[in-house]
Amino acid sequence: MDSAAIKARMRAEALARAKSEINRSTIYFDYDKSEIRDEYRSSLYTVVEKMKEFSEIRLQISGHCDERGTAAYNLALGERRANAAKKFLIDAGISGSRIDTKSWGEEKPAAEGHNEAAWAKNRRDEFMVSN
Amino acid sequence: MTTTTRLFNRVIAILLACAALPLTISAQAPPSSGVLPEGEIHTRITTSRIHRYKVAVASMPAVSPSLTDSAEVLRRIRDIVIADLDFSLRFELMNRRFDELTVAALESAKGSVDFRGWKATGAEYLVAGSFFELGGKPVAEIRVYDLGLEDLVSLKNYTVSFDQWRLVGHRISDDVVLNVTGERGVATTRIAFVRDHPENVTEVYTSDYDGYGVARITNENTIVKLPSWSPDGARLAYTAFKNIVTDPDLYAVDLATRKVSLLHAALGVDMVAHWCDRNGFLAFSSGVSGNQEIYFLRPGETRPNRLTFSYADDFDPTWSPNGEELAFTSTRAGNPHIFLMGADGLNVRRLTFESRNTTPRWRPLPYGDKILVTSEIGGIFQIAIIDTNGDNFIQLTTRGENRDATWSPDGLHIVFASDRRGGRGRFEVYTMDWDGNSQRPLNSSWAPGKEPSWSPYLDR
Repeated sequence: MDSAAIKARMRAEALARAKSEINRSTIYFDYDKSEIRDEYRSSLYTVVEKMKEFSEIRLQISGHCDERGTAAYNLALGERRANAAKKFLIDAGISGSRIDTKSWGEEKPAAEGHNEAAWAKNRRDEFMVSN
Repeated sequence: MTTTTRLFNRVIAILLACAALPLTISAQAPPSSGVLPEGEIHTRITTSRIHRYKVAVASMPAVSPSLTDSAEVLRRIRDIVIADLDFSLRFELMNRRFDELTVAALESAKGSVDFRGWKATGAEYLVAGSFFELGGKPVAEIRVYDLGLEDLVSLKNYTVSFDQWRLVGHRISDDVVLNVTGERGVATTRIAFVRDHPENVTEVYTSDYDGYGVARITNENTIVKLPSWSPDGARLAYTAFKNIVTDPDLYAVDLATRKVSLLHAALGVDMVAHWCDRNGFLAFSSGVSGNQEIYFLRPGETRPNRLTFSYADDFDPTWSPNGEELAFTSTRAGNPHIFLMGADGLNVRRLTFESRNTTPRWRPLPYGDKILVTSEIGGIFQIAIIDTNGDNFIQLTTRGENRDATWSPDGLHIVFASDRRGGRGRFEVYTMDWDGNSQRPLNSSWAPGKEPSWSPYLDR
């Protein structure tokens, strides 16, 4: 195997690692809030870093809510949460054209319970490399 | 009305029943017949107090021997009429005050109505009738009497088809409401709602207002939300996650053909379509500008007109009955609250200040001075009502979480989702009177349903 092939293979492996790291970077929100909590800034910066390293990466951010509140309100809140993360990435230098957002409202809970422990897990943004 | 005229009318009625279409032979609305002084009519329309006419429902015997086999169904049609009139809030059912023996005794004088006997029960109106067979089908002949005037208010025949027998009861009830009060009844209206399927799929269903006659409407095989009726009752708008890649957009399904058409699709969530009853303008919200803003489309238009311009989310629009204003939810003050604005987007003013409030729904005429809201009270969401000037906030529900309320077309009833019986997050559809009385589930046993929407008046 020549060095170019080895380099290409190493890059492909690094890209796969970056994608899986991005896909694991779920961030969580306070009740009825769409502000990025300080503890999740580092994981968002990791997403920024990976997207800068691999310019081919396109990202879908999906915003989710807990079950409380009306259906329409949760769709709006999920959209606001997804847009908050998108704005963070854009402010950090990523082109908005590489990022799609989608609100799922309260439709796709990550945890099934009906208490604060479950709700806290459901108020989130999920990141998925879409290519 | 003389006996001869009555007999003549009956003959005509039987002849017309052959057309299989119910036809009103005589329909005098009592407001013009001098029962109510004008002043009282005025009071009835401009205040929330509804005049309840005292009505009795006589037994409705099957007079043709060939109908013996269907006696049970025919008896239940009368039960539906009684339940509908009770629900209408426009009557006081005198049947609740006496037993069926009294009914039987009053009917012993065959061939004529015992006006004096019925009047002695306290009733002002009497609904009487019988079933006979015509052309192989049962026909209900329904007579409504004004007991004070000792005269017939209306006489109408209804052909009973056995796959739609409940509808016959609802039609009879709505005709009684119309002929006695001059107002339309809601017994033939339907309720649209969303039901969860497995695998993260939800679909739109409809049922009669009393929970019977459930029909599945959409077949999207994805998440479908927030159905809303067109003013003519022919279409239902909804938000659907049609494609896993794109975001939710607005569609409408034609209820007769089940054909689905796109109403609006843009980047971001497009949701909560609300057609104005008066001019057909379609208000909705879209996230295309970067956050939710309110837009409207005139009939036939495809380019939306933007109404709100704020850095916060503005969504959940509801037209005032006269089409001159909209109420909506906005986060411009931090927490979500209800705001009002003119149909041109100007003259924005804030309606709610406490806690969190969402999902405004403007009460139909003649009661256009109140708005339904879903309000966070003690950490849980409840249905409340508030005047359009911000006064008289009244909480209507207390048990479980209650949300996503809409009005019946007469403005006297509310449909909403409650998890009080299923437990947290397991919603089903409930109805209640406009003031919070008579809260009850659409189905006697638990049946999932959420995001309900009450139809306009339907010609069924």
